[in-house]
Amino acid sequence: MKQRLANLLMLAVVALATAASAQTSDQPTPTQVLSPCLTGLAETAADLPMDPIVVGCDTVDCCPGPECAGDDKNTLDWVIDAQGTGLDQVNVSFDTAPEKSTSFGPGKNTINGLPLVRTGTPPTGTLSVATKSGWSGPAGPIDIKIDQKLGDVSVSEFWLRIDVQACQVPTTGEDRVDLTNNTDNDSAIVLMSERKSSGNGCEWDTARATDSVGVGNKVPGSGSCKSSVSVFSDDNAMAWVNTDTSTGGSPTWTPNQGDVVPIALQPPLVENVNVYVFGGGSLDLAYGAVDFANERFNANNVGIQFNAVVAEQTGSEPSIDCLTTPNPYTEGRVNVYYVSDTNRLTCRPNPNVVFVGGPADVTVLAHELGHSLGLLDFGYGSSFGDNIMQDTGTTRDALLDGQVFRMNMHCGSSLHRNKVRGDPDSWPWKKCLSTSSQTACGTAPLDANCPPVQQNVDPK
Amino acid sequence: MSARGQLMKAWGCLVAVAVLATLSGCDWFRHHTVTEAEKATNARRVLVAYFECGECTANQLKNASDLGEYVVPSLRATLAQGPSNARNERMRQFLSLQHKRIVTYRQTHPGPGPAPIADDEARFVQAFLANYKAQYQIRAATVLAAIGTPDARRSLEQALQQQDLRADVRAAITRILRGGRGDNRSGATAN
Repeated sequence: MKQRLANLLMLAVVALATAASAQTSDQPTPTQVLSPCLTGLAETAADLPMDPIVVGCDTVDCCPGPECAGDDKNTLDWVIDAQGTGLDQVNVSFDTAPEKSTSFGPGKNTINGLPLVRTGTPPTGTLSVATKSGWSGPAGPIDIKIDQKLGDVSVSEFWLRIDVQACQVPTTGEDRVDLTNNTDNDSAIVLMSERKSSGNGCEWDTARATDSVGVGNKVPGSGSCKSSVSVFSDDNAMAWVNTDTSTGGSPTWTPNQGDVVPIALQPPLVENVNVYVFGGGSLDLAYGAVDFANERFNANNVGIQFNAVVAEQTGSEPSIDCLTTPNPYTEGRVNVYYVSDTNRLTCRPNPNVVFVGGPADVTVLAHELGHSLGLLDFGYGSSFGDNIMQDTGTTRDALLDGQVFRMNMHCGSSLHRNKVRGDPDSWPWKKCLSTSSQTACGTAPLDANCPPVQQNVDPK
Repeated sequence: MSARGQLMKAWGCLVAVAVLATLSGCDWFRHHTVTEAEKATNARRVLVAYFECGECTANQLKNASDLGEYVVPSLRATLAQGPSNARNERMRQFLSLQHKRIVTYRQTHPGPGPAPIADDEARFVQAFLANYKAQYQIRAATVLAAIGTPDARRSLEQALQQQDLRADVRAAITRILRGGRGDNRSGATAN
C-alpha cells in the first residue's frame, strides 16, 4: 500500500511537471534592448536611442472580441513596471498630452486617462531614464515594461531593456590599443577576447576609444582561448588583430603591463549588389531600401557598404526558387530580385540570390542582406525587437556587435564567396555558431573564438 | 505513520502539486481559467505577430487562423483599413526618422539613385506607408481565407467592393477567392 501510494504520487508529479514545462510562452519579450557601459552611464544615458511609444492600440479595432467594442471608450491607461538595481527615476513625457507627463521611481505605476485617438495624430510618449547617483554596479538589466490597457484588455505592449554592461575601465600604465585612421574620431568599440590575468577562462571585454585606450593587463591566450582584438567604427572596415602567441599573432600580449597593439583602421569594404526590379515595382522604393541598408549598416559599425546598381526589368520575373539560378544573375555580386510574389528570402545554398516580395517595408532589403552576410533571424518571441534581423517587426534599425563580427568574419558570409577581401585565404575566416549557412566553411569544427551573437555595446 | 496518515499525506502532496502547476501557468489549468480580457489580449498578440512578420512561418499563419470566428470582425476591419492608427503613426515616425538619417548620410556617401533631399520626405513616407497598409490587408485576407468559414469568405468578397483597394491587394484577394494562396510562408534562408 505504502509503495503504491508513493508510485502514484511520483507519477502525478512527473505528469504535472511535464505539462508545465511543455507550455510555450506567449508573453512578450523586450521590444528594444540597449547595452550601455556602466562606466559613464549617467553621461551617456541621454544618447541612448530610446524608441518613442505611441498611445493607442495595436489592432484597428483595439482588440478582437467584444471586450473593446463601443465608441465610448476613448481613454487608455498605461501600466508601467520599472525594475533594476541601478534605476533611480523614469520620466515619461507626452507631446500632445503634456498634462499627463510624469516621473516615478522603481515599481509599478499607472498613468490613467490617456486619450485614445482613433483618427488623426495620437499622442506619443517619450521615455528617459536616470540611474542612481554614483551607482557603480553590479551591471545588470533595467526593465521598463509599459502595458497599454483598455479596461482589462492589454491593447499594446512595449518593453525597454537597458542591459548595463561592465565595460573595461581605462587607467594609466596598462596595456593599450592604439587606433589610427579612425574616420571622424568616432567612439569606436574595441572588443577583446582575452585570458585575464586573474582567471583561466577566455572572456569578451569591451572598451570605447577614439584613438588610444588602456585595456588593463592582458596576458597571452592559452588552450582554446585565442586572444584577439576587433574594432568596430563608423565609416571604417571592421578590424581584427590576432594577439595570440600560439597562432603566430604579432604583436601579442605579454604577462607584463605596457604592451601596445597598434591598429590602423581601413576604409569600409564594398560589396557589389545588383537590384532587379520586376513587375512594375518602384525604383524609388528600391533606392530608398538600399539607402536605408547603407545608412543603418554604417551607423551600426558594420564597415560594409553596398555598391548597388538598381535596374527596372521588363521580362518575366523569376520564380522564387533557390534550386535554379535566376536570370539575370552575375556571380561575385549579391543579386536582389524585387518580385510581385509576397515571399522574401535569401537562398541558403547561394547567398548571392535574394528575393524581396511585395509589399515590402523599407527594412526588408537590409534584413535579407544580413542573411546574405551570414546572419540568422531573431525569431518571433525572441528579444531584440528593434534588431534588423528580428523576423517580426517593421521598425527595426539596430544591429549587435556579435552580428557585425559574423558578417565580417564568418566563412559563410557573402564577403567570402564574393572575394570582397581579395584572396579568401588572406583573411582568417571563422566558422561561427548562430549563422545562416556554413556550407562554404567545409568540415572544420565550429570556432570557439566567435563572440556570442548577443555581444553588444551602445550607443554606437 | 498509519496507512490512513500516509494516504492523507499523499493527497496533501497531490493538491500542493496541482496548486503549484496552476500558479506556474500549466496549459491545462490556464485553458480552463482564461478570462475574456486575456483571450482578447492573446488574440491581439497572435494577429499582430502575423501582420508584422517579415518572413512569415506556417506556424504564425496557423496560430492566427486557429483563432477562428472570434477574430473575423477584427480581420474584416483590418482588411478595410489596414494597421491601427497608433501602428500607422509609429511607422510614420520611423520612416520620417530614417529619411532624415538617409538625407544626412547621402550628403557624404554614394547611393544608387539621386541623393534625396529633405523635401522628399513626404513622398518617401507615403510610399512606404502605403506598402505597410497593403501588407496588413493582404495578411488579413490570408488569415480570413485560412479560417474559411462562410462569414470569413463573405468578408473577402465584400472587400473586393472597396473602390480604394490597391491593385496588388485586389489581385491577392481575387487569387485567394479562386483558391490560390495569398501570403504564404517564407523562409529566412530557404532551400
